[in-house]
Amino acid sequence: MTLALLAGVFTLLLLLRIPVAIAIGLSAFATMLVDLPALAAATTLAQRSVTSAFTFTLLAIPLFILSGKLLAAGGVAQRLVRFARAAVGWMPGGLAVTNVLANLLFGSITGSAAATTSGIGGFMIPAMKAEGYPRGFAAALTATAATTGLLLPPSNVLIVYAMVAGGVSVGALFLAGYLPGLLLCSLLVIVAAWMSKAGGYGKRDVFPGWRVLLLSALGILPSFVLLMIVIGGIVSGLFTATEASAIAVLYALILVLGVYREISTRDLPVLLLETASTTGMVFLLIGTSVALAWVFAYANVPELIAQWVGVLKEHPWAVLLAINVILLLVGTFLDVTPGVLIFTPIFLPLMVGLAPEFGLTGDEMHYHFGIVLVFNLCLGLVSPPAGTTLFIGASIAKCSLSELNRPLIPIFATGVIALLIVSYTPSLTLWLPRFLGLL
Amino acid sequence: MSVLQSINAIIERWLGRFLISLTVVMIATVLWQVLTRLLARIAVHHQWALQLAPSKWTEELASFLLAWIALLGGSLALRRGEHMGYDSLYLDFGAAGRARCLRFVQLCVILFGGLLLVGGAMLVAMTLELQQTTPALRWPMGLVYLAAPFSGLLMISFACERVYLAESEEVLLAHSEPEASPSSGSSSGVGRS
Repeated sequence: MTLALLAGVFTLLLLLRIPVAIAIGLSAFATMLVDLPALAAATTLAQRSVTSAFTFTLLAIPLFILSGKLLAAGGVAQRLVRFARAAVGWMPGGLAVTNVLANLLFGSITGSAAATTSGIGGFMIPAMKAEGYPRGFAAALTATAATTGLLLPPSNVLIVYAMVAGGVSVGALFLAGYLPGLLLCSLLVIVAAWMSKAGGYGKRDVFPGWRVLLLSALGILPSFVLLMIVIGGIVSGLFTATEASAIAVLYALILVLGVYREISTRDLPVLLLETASTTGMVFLLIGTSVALAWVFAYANVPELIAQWVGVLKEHPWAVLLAINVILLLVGTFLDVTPGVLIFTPIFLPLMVGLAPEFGLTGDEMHYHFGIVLVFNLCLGLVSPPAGTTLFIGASIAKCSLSELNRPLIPIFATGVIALLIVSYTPSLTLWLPRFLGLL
Repeated sequence: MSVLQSINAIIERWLGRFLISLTVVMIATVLWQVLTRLLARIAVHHQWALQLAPSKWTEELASFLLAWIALLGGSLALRRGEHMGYDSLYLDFGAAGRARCLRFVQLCVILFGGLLLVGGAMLVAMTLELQQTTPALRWPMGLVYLAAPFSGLLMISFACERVYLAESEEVLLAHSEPEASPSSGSSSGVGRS
């Protein structure tokens, strides 16, 4: 009953173009009214909105947002594109493959799918169009490849998951994201090259020579030193994710203002204000999602779903498949961060209970499931017919979403295959953190 | 109406300055913490005779600033149309229907702002009465919760303006994103609202 009311209100509000955070907040409030007086419900909503931001661990979010914006505005994107083109432009579907690699690199630095789609897409989509790639293909490929940044550390979504899952080390979780992210990218490279070849799109570059490759690699070296400091510092326990994010801001400031010099201190207020505004958007989503998760817990939804899916308990692989299908469907309409906050309390206990069936300890399942969850919700960003990054890609390519949906199908299918491989191969997610002795 | 518009313009300008200052202080606070923690580590390592405890107040001050940035930034993001919303049904409406739809969106924002305002004010009153304070700085928790009613008030003020301007906003939107609008056959999309 509660669930039906909630789903109805939420869908209606979304269809009427209500901002997602407001839709989540109002439907949480409406559902609370079933059991609570209005004043108590309003107080709960306001309290979750404030307390979810009054958290030291989540301070990493605005700071990584700012460092990402600094690097994006400061000229990192075109250097990454230059390097990617020198490295893989000679392959079949040269620019398409370059696009995937540039998205991977930029996504891992900025940790935002939306910023990556516009940052890399702004260079790559026009370049691909000029070489005769269909604009729908260019947009669909960019939008999909951009989501890898959420899996590759540092990733704000993984920090949110670590908080809500409880007792999860951010360092180990970061490491667990590497191989799945790289797997997705490798498969995307293959499908991009294959589609370009089959469609006769574009042309192959001549390999520019080691000298050019080395010079372009030097151009992006500082960005990778930053990644090594941040990830190395967190993994080794030298500093927390929040402290690492502050160091990232300092480093990005010095790099962009002192070395690259494509923006000056006069541009900083605009970037700071954008950061505050984006932070506000993200935390409004977080606060309302936490309120909604509270309503779910109050209405015993986790137990209810555990009972439903419990029918499949004899077949643990089917439970995982059912969870994946539900998440893929929901992910089409729900952003990644609310998805993590709402579904972790529902599905994580179930999966931890099934951990022995997958040959894992409960602790290891926390990490494996986190990566599966985030991977799945990332695909939700590009699942046809609608998705956040798809829209950004389409508006850069100046094409309609229906034009984009056809080339998207094989690309999206590749993503789903990668997701299934990752879901059923826990050794893939856990290999790196185990190898470095964090698990 | 034009009074509300000019008031909102002034609010937005000062809100921007305020948010920028808060963000700068927040970054400085976290950096200070990193510095003191590193120094404390080095001091322990070299067995220096000085007491350098990594300060607890920096964590709390930074979190306090984050709560305010998050809530006030949320109202600014709504003002600047950064929140994502779905376009599918909206694009099937005629011009008058779209204007009605935009007006309904703003009414929902006003309702949400109202909930933050009332619920937040309750929280502030309750925690002040119970004299609840933050653990490290001993500031009243009411100061943290004050961000909610404040943000709710701003959301309401910004949204009221757009309730009146729904028609002209519809025209603006129709001209700003024509290429990205899907054709009516398989119309489905995500737009900034």
